[in-house]
Amino acid sequence: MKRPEKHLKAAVLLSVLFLGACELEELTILDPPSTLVAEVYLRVNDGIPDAVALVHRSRGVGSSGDADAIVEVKGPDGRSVRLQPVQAAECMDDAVPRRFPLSCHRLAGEAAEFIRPGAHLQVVVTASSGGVLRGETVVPGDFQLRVPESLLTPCGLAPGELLDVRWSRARGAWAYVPEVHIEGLSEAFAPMGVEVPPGPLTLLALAVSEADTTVTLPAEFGVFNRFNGDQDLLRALQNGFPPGPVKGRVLVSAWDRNAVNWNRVGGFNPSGTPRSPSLWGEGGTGVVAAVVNRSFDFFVDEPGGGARCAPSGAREG
Amino acid sequence: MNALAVRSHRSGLRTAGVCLSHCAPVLQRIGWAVLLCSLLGLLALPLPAQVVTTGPSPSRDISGRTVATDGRPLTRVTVSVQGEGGRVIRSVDTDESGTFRIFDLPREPLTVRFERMGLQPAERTVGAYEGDALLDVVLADTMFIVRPLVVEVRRPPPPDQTGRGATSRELTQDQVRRLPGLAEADPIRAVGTLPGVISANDVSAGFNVRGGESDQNAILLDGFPLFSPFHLGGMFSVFNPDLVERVEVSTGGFPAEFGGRASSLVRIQSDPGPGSFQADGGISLLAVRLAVAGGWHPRADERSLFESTHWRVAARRSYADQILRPVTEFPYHMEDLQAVVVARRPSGSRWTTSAYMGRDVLNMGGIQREDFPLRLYTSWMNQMVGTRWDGGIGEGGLVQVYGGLTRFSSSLRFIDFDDTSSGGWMDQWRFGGSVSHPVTPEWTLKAGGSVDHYRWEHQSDMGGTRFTGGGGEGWAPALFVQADGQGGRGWRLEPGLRLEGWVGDDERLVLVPAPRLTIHRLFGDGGEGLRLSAGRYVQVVHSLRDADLPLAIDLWVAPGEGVPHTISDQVQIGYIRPFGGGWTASGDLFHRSFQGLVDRNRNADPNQPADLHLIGSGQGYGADFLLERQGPGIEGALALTWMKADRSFPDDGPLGGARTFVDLPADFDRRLDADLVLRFPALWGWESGARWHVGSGTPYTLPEGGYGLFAPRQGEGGTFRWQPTESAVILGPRNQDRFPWYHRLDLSARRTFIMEWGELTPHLDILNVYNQRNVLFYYADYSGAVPTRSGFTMLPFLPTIGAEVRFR
Repeated sequence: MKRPEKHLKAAVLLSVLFLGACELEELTILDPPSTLVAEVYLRVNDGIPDAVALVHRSRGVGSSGDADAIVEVKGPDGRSVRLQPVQAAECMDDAVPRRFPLSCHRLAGEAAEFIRPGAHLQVVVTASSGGVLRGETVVPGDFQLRVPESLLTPCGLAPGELLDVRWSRARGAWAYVPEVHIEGLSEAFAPMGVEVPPGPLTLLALAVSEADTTVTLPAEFGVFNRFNGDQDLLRALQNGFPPGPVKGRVLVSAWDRNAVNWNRVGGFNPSGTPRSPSLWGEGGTGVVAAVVNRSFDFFVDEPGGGARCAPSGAREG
Repeated sequence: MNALAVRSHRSGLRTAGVCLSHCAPVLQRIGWAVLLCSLLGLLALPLPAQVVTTGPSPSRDISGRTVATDGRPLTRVTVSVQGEGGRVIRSVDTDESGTFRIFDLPREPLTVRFERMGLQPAERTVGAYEGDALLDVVLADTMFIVRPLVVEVRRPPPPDQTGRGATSRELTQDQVRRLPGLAEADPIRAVGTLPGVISANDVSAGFNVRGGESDQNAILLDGFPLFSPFHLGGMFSVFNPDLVERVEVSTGGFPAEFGGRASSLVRIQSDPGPGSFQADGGISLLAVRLAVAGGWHPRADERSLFESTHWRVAARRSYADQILRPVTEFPYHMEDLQAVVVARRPSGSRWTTSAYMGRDVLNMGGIQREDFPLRLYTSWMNQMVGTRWDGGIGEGGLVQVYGGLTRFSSSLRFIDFDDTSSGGWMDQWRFGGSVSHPVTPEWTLKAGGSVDHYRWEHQSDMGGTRFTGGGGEGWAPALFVQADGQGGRGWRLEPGLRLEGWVGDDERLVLVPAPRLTIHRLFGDGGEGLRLSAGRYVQVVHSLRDADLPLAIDLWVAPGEGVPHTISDQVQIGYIRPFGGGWTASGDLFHRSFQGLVDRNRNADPNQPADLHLIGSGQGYGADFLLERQGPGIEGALALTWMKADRSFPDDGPLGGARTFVDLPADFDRRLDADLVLRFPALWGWESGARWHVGSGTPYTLPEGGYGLFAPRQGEGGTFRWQPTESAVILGPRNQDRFPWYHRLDLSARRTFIMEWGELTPHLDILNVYNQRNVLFYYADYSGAVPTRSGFTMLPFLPTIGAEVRFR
């Protein structure tokens, strides 16, 4: 370890000691009430509707009970459809400790057909304890990918190329949250000495407002990971993908008001992230979010190996 | 040239100088020395004193007589004898007969100087081997030009404006220095000890006055505003204590000539120094500072635009980054540069020019990235330059003209990612003037106007998208007229009207009349009196500072899309009564309303730029009380404030529903606030100060619960990803809970040592003497098996030392 780093750590330690003098004694919070939390996402994926709901509880008295609930979506015609309970693992990327009781609900197929761009939908969540949460949303309008054109999927990117992904406006969207799912990065970056966690990598980007319909792949992805690790990888991606067996999928997601308000940081609070709900009712909180998604697949190779993602020429990173 | 004649005491004529024709008759009257004098005068050869020894002797005397050119003996002529190196050995005055005698002088080369106002000085030398010497000196008259003497007299203000009332106060440099403080004497911190002023926490020097927001305080340096005069995110003010002559604070009821801010007026006057060289410096745990003063005074016969010029330049810089550099990268430093020049014309008019530049830098780019992912560079800066001319007009009239520029800017960028940055700036050009003149023996009228031009811009970008952004420009013209009249039986009236305007980009001119009225009623000559003030105050600029953060940087905006101007209607009534022994008691009742308050909309619709801000209202009401003692011995003041400050802001409800207004206590709503400040002499010549500050708890929002944070993914089946290191919080009603009572005792001690080269003043400050654990914020942790609450306190027990020096 370099000597300045030792001193930095000593300085940090001193700071911690000073701050420790400012720390208050820890007290136990007695019997906080447990609250039902429902997160309902109504989606249109490349034209195919579905819905997923995660129901869980805040820590406290009653949280040891179940997180069971009935989740219903009411369409514009007044028809109500109940989401089907599924195994919690079907909703989660990874296992969640048992102290976080949760249940998962899904809706797909014909039953979900009334979830379409522009639709005004209502959601009712009824907890097993009897509490009811209600909320509503308007699904953002449909939109199309402009660059690359959707017919070009999958398309090729040259190593070091930066692709300005463009799409048309989704009416009523408050933000777009493009998501890229990348495979093969660890192998491709290995010769360059950039450490990448093994396995697929998912990075998010952000375009705020209905009018911001551009994001640069891959430089502008990973904005939420910039300050919590993966620094070398994200810096390397500022210059495009490395040569190698890299491929992936980009999904541009148009988010409605409720999704944005629930997921954006609503001010500073030392106890955690405050969230603005769109499900309201006795003893609970939550979100009913509507998103419309468009996606394309890409691969990295030298020009000439197939359809190119960029309409004319590549932008060097 | 002088006519000189010197005679040895024992050996007769031995020395002569140059003699002009007009002095010859005089010399003839004083004896035979005339002959030689005339001879040498003809030769026109100036000669040094001749030396005749009179034998060895351990010491010798010098005596003589001084006369005028007409032979009159000259009394009270100072005769000083200087030895080698110019040191003054002895000094006497001539007596009624013009004679003098100085005994026991050493045997070394001596220079004898003869001086008196109105006479040309003369000088003689006496050699090392001379014996006793007799020096008869003729001193000629000289013209003594006296410049016109300008006397500035201020009209004595009513008792509650003399710095002894609850509403208007004046703090001297000494009072500021003797108040216990963190590292440096701070005039803005000192303002926090006054009644009606609430300092919400220890870590910010920002303050709130009688229910107003912290951005509603006009902080003027020599008449020009500084937007955010704070260092370290608000922990220290930017004002260098060496350059502060005095601080005037008005917590309400200020007359129509003042506008721009709705809540209070803090006027800081720079000290241009004595007009001669003086250097002041200091070192504290925070910074080192140096102030150099000087002046320019043209000779009487020199043609000059100004008869005197006083100037002072001061610099201050924190030094932790420099002294730690060999060891580690300390990422923060701050710096100030301030100057003031005051030039006076022979007519009595005065030209004052002030300038300030201060900057904070937090540069984490030098930290190894593997140890610290947040490699950022942020800085914020105040800049100001302004000039003002004050002159007389007619009999008793005054004219003032001014112009200047003030700017605040901030920026934040990340070293590793070019697409991530935020920042903003605001410029304010200000031009104006006023004329005041007595119209009757009882009434004085004052009228004037100003034009402010604002330009601002702010943006926050990350990852190729703009989170927030905006900008614009606009003009804020204002006219005022006010009168000040003495009635009979102790009545005094100060009516006034201010017309505030605003016109922004593509907007129509908005005019808001702001009438003001103050009525004084004095009882007798002892200073007892009542004061009633009512008025409307208008403010066009707002700071979008994040009130959730204990330390934050201001982001200034002016009216435009979704941002209104603030209107505050205020009324207050006060009573003051002096007692014997320097004691004074005063109190005020006050109420103020606020329309057009601006808060950040955390749920803003990004498709609607006007939705970025929430527009609300508020009020503040309460009572201030001040008991004060000034005079020899123990000085001090007890300031008590009872206040209620609340706000009403819209809150988002369900989709499609109308926004409902939520009433809540203001963030700084401290209902009871008491400040006891004492200054007293201590042992061994030390001077001490003490401050005991007690306040009821300020509001906070209770975290009622917490739950796991699950980030939604849209691809790969629409799953959720658990965020194990983070949690979400369920907040209770905003600001409906309160922290515990706050109290803290601070002590200070300082002593000035007079040295050969100047003065040295070491000082010791002890903050939070009994280590009270005042809560800064709580945090609740619901992620563990057992929910817990912990938190951070404000400043713990903290002794600091420093020293000030003054070179003359």
